[in-house]
Amino acid sequence: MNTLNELGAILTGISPEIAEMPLSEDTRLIDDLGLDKTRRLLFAVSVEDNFDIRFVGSPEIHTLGDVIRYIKNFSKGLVMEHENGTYT
Amino acid sequence: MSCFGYGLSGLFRAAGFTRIYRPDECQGDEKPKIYISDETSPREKTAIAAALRCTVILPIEEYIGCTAVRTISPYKVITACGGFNTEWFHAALKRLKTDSVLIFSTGSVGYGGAVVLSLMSGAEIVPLCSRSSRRLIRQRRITIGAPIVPEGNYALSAECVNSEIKRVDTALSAIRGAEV
Repeated sequence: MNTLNELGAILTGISPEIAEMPLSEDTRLIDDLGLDKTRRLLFAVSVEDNFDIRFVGSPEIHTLGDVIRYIKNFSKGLVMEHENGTYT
Repeated sequence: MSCFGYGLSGLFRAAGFTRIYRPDECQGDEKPKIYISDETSPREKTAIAAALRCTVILPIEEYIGCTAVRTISPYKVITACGGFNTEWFHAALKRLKTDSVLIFSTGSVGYGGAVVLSLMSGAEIVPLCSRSSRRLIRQRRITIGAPIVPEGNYALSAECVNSEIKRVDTALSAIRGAEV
């Protein structure tokens, strides 16, 4: 199962209505999926648990593509802190 | 001993001593809890945190920007950055093994964060309501409601979380109503 499908399964568990929506790397978490503060927290915690990662610093995550890239970078040990305190 | 005719307790009240009222079922239970309150003023948050002597979760902007909340010991504060950062969440989970946690309904954590913490840790949520005394300056009365034990086998689904949020909201409204 690829990463996008796994994220889709997690999102469906959090909000069943997302099962009906087409998902892509450009799908925005707030504007397209309508995730509120609590659902974003649930999503973040579930992704951390599923992929064995941690969301640290202030990652710029707005779309599913951002989440996928973060997972890949974290797994490779590439999550770096920048001077302005953000992580990429 | 008398101080301006109020006695020793009057001395404490005059100094801003906080009185805490608990329902009987809260007595004698030393397990860590997640307190949730709807206070918004930094001064009131600081007063409640000092009275309960537990760890408090605050948005980082508020902690840095306000001198009142910075009087709380840094060890007793967990700052939440917002966004996708979950460091505060894991710190709170760890802290709940030994200490209670205080969360305010406004800000980046709110009811939802408290409920998710409760479902993952098994800790009870305890609603509280804080009011200033009408009679004495700087006295504060904190009423602590009955604990809300998480239901649903700790399932982390949106349905379970929403149902727990409604229970917390109902419990907070009940306490506020009782205070009026």
